[in-house]
Amino acid sequence: MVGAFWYGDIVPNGYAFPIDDFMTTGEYPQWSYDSMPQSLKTLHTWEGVGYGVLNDGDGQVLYYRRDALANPEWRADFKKEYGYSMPVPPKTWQQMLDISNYFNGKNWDSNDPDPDSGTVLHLKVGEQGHYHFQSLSASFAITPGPELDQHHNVYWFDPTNMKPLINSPGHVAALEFLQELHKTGPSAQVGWSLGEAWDYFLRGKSVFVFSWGDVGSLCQDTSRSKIQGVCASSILPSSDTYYDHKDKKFVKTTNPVKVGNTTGGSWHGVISNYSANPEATYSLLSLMAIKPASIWLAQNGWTGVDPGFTYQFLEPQGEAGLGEYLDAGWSEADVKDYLKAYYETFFADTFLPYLRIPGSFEYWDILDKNLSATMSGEISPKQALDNTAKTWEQITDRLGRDQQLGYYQSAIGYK
Amino acid sequence: MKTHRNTKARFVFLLPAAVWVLTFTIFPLVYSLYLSVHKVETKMNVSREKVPMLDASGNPVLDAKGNPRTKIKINREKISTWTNIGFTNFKRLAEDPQVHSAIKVTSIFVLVAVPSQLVLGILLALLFNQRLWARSFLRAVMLLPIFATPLAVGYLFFTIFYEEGGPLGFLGVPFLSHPDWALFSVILVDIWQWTPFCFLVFLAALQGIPNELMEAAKMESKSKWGLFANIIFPMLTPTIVIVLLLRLAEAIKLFDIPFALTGGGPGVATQSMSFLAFRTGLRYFDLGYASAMSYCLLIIVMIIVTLFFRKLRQSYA
Repeated sequence: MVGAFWYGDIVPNGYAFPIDDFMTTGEYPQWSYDSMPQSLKTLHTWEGVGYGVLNDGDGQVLYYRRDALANPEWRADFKKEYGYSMPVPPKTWQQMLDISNYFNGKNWDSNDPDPDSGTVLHLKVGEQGHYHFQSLSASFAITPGPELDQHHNVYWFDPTNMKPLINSPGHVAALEFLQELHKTGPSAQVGWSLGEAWDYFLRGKSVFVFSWGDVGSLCQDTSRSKIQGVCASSILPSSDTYYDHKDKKFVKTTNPVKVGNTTGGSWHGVISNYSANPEATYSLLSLMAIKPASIWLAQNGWTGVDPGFTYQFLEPQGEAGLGEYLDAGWSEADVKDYLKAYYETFFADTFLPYLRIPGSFEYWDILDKNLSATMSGEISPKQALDNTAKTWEQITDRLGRDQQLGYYQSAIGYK
Repeated sequence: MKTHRNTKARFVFLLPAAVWVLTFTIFPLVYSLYLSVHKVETKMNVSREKVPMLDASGNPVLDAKGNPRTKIKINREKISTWTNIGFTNFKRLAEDPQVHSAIKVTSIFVLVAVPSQLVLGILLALLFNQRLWARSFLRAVMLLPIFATPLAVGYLFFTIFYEEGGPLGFLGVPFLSHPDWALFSVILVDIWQWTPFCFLVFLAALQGIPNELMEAAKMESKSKWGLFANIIFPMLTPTIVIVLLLRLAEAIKLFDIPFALTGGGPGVATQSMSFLAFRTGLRYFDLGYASAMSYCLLIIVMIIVTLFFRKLRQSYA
């Protein structure tokens, strides 16, 4: 099982086995790349050749407590304090921060007598903290536009010279924002990985978490979750202000675009060229990719498999019937929100580009360490991202700027 | 003839040890030195061919129509390119902020943890060298941490230091989420695990001091401090140097506890040199640079060991 960010290291170096021929033989369980949104399909292929077998669809969405945000008393009080009606779900990160601040420290959940939090994050270094930043910062740092060019729809590097964009004013503003959001959750979350943060939300301790599909399905697992039925989801909010890379200035907007993401690994099977029996390997992987197995995996949170394929989405966007989820024990309100959130996330017009070049892990790991240092108060957001950009330059030079540029352009579709 | 046979026998008896040292010490040392001055790039040239599928007896497997089935055979040719880059990786060490931070973290850890273990070990040994209620039982309990795997200890203390609902959560101390506290937590866990080792060795050394000498010293000096400073401590010095040496060499290689407890964070607040070398080699696959880091660490350890052996010889003299 590989993360999509491994492709830049394993495919060009000859470690991955192409599967297109297997898919057309008709000898194996039938699944198709057409069952995937284009955003996920891209992550399973390399230069038009298929390598990955459908399994897990990773992307981050916003989870929120439906009951808390619908409560008339809280809503009236929020309006009094902030001067506007609490939007459900929040459309912008700034609205979400207000709501998160409002609920933080109040005992709005009746599961225990203690005060609860606004937003819980998983920020432990070496884990998934940098993914939070990627998803959140996309709408601050990406200049939306109809095409991908040097200044529009780019996020990681300048596609003409591989100069890092990670310390752009948009990215810095996003990190400053993440620090503010962090203050509305438990301070211990700087040392938390996924399990601790998810558990906190599932125990009813925070209004918001933005994370992977596992949370939605774990909400339905009443052995772990106290919030089945009130676990709502939506596509991530957007920032009401983004950085224009062309004009070098911030732009305030009343109608921010929704930015989709495939943040994470979208973990899936790739056959190694060391395989003694690629046919047997493919047979097993494709068996797990067909609808009966795939939908069952996505319905059960403990499997770690998240939805993203047409036969997991509800009709009319997909092929799944509501009954299939209700029979599996899901709350109707939760599952409708959940699958709509993922559909919108994977089919969004503006998208966070995925970093799929040699050394992706190293680039991300450097970012992760600097983000963690910022979230623990060691260094400022600007310093953290400047440090990151400086080290990224060294990595790019070491791996070969021209080679990296070529792969980067290919990965994001820059022409 | 007899001499010749003795020589042969000696050779045979020494051979396993020599093979062991050559295989597990000399070869890795030389190989990693070679790695550290090279950039290694590995690729695979792959071709695929269809070959007949055979059953366990070697007979062709047939499909439903009776035709022989085929399977894909992957032919691989691994191509490793070793480019000599001289001392580039060692120069990178001097300029890499992660290395500077890791050296700082490792130094603070060693300078705080090791002396603390020694002092606590001596104090406990002095305590247990007297008549004490349930001494045998307490001594056995004291020694338990030594037998725990450091990685497991790291995970154990992760639950103890858990700030939301952990057993020490009521203290309100950010054990794992604040950079300084996180390093303190790593040090605390190491002290917890390795003080018993120091205690055990010092207790054995104390019990080795002749009773006659202690009795005579007690007659000479009524002050307990005088007794300790003039008799016990000098007698313990060779043991202290040995324990110090062992603990230093071990502490400089700090890895397991931060790996399990903090992941090296927050940021790089608990990322030791060994941890950084591990991530560089086995996460970034930058094996040359990781080897250079390891050599840097080895050189530091060698200098310390040499200095301490010199000191040890002097103390024996």
